[in-house]
Amino acid sequence: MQSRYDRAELLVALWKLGADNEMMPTSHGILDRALNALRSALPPELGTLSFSTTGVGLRCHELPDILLAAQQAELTSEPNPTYLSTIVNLRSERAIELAIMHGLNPLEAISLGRDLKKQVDLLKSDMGEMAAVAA
Amino acid sequence: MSALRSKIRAATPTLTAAVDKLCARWLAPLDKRLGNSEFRPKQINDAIWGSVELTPWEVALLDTPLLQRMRGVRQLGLAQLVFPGAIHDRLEHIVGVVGAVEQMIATLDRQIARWNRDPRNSARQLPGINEGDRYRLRLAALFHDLGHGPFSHAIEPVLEVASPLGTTGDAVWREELAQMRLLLQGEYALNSAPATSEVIAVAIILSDAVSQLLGNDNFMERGRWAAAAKIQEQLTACIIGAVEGPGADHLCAIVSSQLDADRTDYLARDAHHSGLHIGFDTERLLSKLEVLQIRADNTPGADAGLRERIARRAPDPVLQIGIAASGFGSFEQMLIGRTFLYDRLYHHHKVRAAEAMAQRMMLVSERDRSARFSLEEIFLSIGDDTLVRIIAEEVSHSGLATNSPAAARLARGLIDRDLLHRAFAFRSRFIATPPGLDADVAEDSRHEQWRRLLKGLDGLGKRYDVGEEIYDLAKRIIATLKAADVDVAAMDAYDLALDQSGPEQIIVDLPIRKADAIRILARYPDGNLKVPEFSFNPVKWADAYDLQKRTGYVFCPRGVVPVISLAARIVFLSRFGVVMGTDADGVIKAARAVEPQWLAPLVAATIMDQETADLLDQRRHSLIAVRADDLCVPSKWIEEDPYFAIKVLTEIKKHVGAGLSASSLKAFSAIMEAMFAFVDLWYDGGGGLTAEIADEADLQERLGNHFRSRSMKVEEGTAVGGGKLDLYVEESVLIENKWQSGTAATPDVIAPSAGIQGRRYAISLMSQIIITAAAYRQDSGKPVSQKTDLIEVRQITKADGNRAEIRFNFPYGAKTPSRDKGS
Repeated sequence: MQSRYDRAELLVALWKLGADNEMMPTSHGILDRALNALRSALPPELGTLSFSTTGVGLRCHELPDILLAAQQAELTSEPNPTYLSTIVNLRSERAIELAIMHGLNPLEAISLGRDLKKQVDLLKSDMGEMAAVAA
Repeated sequence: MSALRSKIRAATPTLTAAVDKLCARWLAPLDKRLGNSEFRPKQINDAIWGSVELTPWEVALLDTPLLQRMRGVRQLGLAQLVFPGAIHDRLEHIVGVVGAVEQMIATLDRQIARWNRDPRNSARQLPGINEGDRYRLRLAALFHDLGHGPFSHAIEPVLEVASPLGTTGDAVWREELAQMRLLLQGEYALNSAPATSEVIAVAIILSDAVSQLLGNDNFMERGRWAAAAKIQEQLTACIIGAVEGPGADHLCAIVSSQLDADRTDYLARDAHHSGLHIGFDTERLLSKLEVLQIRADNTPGADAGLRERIARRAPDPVLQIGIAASGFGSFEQMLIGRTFLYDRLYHHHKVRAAEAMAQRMMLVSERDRSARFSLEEIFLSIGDDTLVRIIAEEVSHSGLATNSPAAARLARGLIDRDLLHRAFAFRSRFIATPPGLDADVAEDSRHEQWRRLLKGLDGLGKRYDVGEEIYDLAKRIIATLKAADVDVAAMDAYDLALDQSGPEQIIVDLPIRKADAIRILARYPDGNLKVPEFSFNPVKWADAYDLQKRTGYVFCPRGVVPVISLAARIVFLSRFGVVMGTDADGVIKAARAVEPQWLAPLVAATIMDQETADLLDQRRHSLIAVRADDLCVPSKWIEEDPYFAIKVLTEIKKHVGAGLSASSLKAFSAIMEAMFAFVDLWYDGGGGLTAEIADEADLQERLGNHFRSRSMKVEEGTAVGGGKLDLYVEESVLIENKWQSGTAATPDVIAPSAGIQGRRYAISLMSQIIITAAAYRQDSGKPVSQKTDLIEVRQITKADGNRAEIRFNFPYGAKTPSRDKGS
C-alpha cells in the first residue's frame, strides 16, 4: 500500500512540472476525473487509486486524504481566497527531485504532468460549456 | 440468501465464521425469548433528542448482548479523563442516532408533503417515506456502530493486518476484513471508502444469527417490510452510505453521508457531554434537508458518470438527499463546529496522551504474549474500563489472556490518571531556520525538512521506533552524566524512572484527522443542483485551521521530562535536521530547553558533537536542506544533462536528508565546485586522464595542489581519531584518496571500504560528507567514462543517519584520448 505522503508528493510534483505556477484544482471533482482519465499512464502510486460515481459525480476515494497530506506536508498551502484550488509550494527543481525519488525520469514526469494539466483544462472547459448550456 | 451475502461470505470464510460465532452468542438470549415473550415499545429519555420511542423489535434487539456490549464502550474513548462529563457510551449514541433518524424522516416527510401539495409539481411528485423505509433506517441506526471495539478509534491498529510492533499471527481474518472492504467498494457506488468499523458492522448484519433473526416472524411481527435477505442488503447499503448497489436508495444517506443522523447526533452529544459550548444549529440544518430530483436539465455540472446515472433512471429522476441553499449557513456551522471539537476536545493534548497510552497498551500486550488478539478477544463484550483493569492485572477474564508488565504499567497510568507529559513539541512553524539565510531558501528548507519529518513519522511503527531511539539515547545521556559526576541525584532518579516505565512510555504522537470532502448537492434558488462550494468551502477552511494548530508531541512520564526533552531534541536534529524555536518551549512549558551543564560531558563522550550542542543551546536553529544549486555543477555539464545536478542531489539526500549546517554547506559547495573543476581539468586540460598516476600520493598531491590553487584551506596528514587524514579541506570535508594500479571491471569496486575508513575521522571532525577520489587504470579495450558517470553517492553504514560518501572515480593512463575522451 502506498503512503498518502508518497502519493501527495508525486501528484504535486507532476502538477508543478505540467502547470508550473498555476494553482492545482481541489474541488468539483476536476482532479479526480483527470486522474481517472490518466489512470493507465500513471505510476503505481497514483495508478492504483479507486474511483466511484458518488452522489456528486465521479470522485476518487483516496484524493481527499492525498490532498490533506499534501497540505500537511506543506507541498501545497491553504487558505487561499477561493478554496477551489491550492497553491503549490514547490520549486521545479524539487518537483524533479521528487519525481526521480518516485522512480520517474524527469522527462517522463514532465510529460505526465503536462498530460494531467491538459486533462484538467479539458474538464474545466467542458464544465464551463455545460454550465453555459444549462443557463 | 442474497447474492451480495453469498459473495461476501464466500470470499471471507474465516472472518465470517468468527463473526457468526460471536453473533450466535450475542443473539442467543433473544432467540430463546422469541415466541415466548411479548415485547413492548419503549420511550427512552435522551439528552439530545428528548424522548426516543423504540418499536417492540428494537427493544428486543436492544436487550441483547449484541447491543448491550456497547454499554461502557465510550464514545469519546479516554476523553473523560480530561472532560469528566464525557462518559457517554456508544449505546447512548446508538439510541441517539435512532432519535436523529426519526427527526430527519419527520423533516423530510414535511418537505415531501409540501412539494407534492404544490400544483406546479403535480407532474413531478416525490415518493413518500413509508413505514418499511422508516423501520429499516432505524434498524440500520441500531446496527451502524456495532463494528466498534473498546476504546473506539484507539483500537484500530489492532485490527490492521500488520502490527506496528511486528507481532504476527491471526492474520487471515484481518486480511479478509481488508478484502471485504474492497468487495463492498466493488459492489456499491460509495461516497467514500467504508471504515473498518463499518465493514465489521456489515459482517455482523450478514451473519447467520442476524439472518435467522430477521427471517423470524416472531421478531418483527407486523413490522416486516421485506424478506430477510433484502433487509440485510438494505442495512448494508445504509451503513456504508451507498449511492447505488444492492439495497441502496436515496434514503441511505440518512444513516451515512456527510449530513447524516450519525454525525448530527455525535457532534451535538460530544459537545453536550464535554461541556463545550459549541453551537450546532441542528434544527435549522435538518429543516433544510430535501429530497432532490436530479435530472439532466437541472444539474449543469453533472459529469459523465452522473449523466449516465440520470439516463439510466429516465424518465424518472435520480433521487438524492441534499440541502436547500438557504441551509448553507447551518451546514457550514456544523463543519466548522466539528473543527472546533477536534481542536478543543478530540485533539486536546491530555486526551491524545491517554489515547496514545491505550493504543500502545493494546499493541504491547499483543507483543508480550507473542500473539495478536483474536476477533473474539477484541469483541469480548466488556467496557473500556474493564479492559484496562484486565490488562493492569487487577481483574482477570477467562476470555482474554494477557501477560505484559509493560502494558500493565500503561494501564495503571490510565486507571490512576497518571498520564504522560509533553517533553518535546514539533510543528512546522516551530522549525527555526538559520539567521541571515535568504527568505526563499529558508522557507524552502523548512518545507523540505517538515515534509521529511512527516514522512519519517508516518505510521505508528515509525513513531514507536523514534520513541525507542529517544529512550535509548536518554539512558546513554544519564549514564554519561553520572560518570561525569553531573547532577547525580537527578540522574539516579531519571534512571530509575526510565527503568520502571520502559521504552513503551516514550511516545511520539501526531494527531490524525480523517480527510473530508463535500459529497452533497445543494438546490440553488434557480432550481439548479450543484456542489455547494462555490463561494466558501468549509471543509478546506477546516483543514487549514486544523493544520495551523496541529502539533506533534513526544510524551513521557512526568519524572523524566528534562532528559527525554534533550534526547528528543538530539534525535530530531540528527534524523530530520530540525531544531524547534523557543515558541515550542512554551507549548511544553519547559523551564529551560537544555540544561547547559549537561552539554560539555555529552560532547566529550561523543553522545553529540559540539555543533549539535551549539545548535540546540546557543544558536537554536536547524540545519539547511541541500539544494541542487549548492552542488555548483558547471553549466557545461548542465547543458549536456539538465537534470544531472538534481539526480546527484537526490542520491545525496537519501543519506544526508537532515541537511548541513550553514558553515558546512558553504564549504561543501566550494569543495564540490572545486571537484567538478578538477574533473574538467582531468579530462580536458591534459590532466590525469592520459597521464600515469604513480600512486596514491601522486593523486593526493594533484588534488591538494588543485585546492590550494583555488585558495582553499587544505590540511594533509593531520592526526585525528587514531589515524592520519589524507586531505581535510575548508575545515569541513574529508577527502580520502585511493589508487589502483590495474584496470577495474567497474570503477565502483575500487577501495570499496574507503567510506568506512573515512568515517571514524568524519565522526571526530563532525563531517557529514566524505569525498573519495579513486584513481584506476583505464582499460584500453573500453571507452572512457563520461564525466557525469564518474560520480557516485554511497551510504557509509546504516548507522549513519546523516552522512554520505561521494565518490569521484578517475580513470588514468588512457591511450587514445582524442577518440575516447568523455564529454
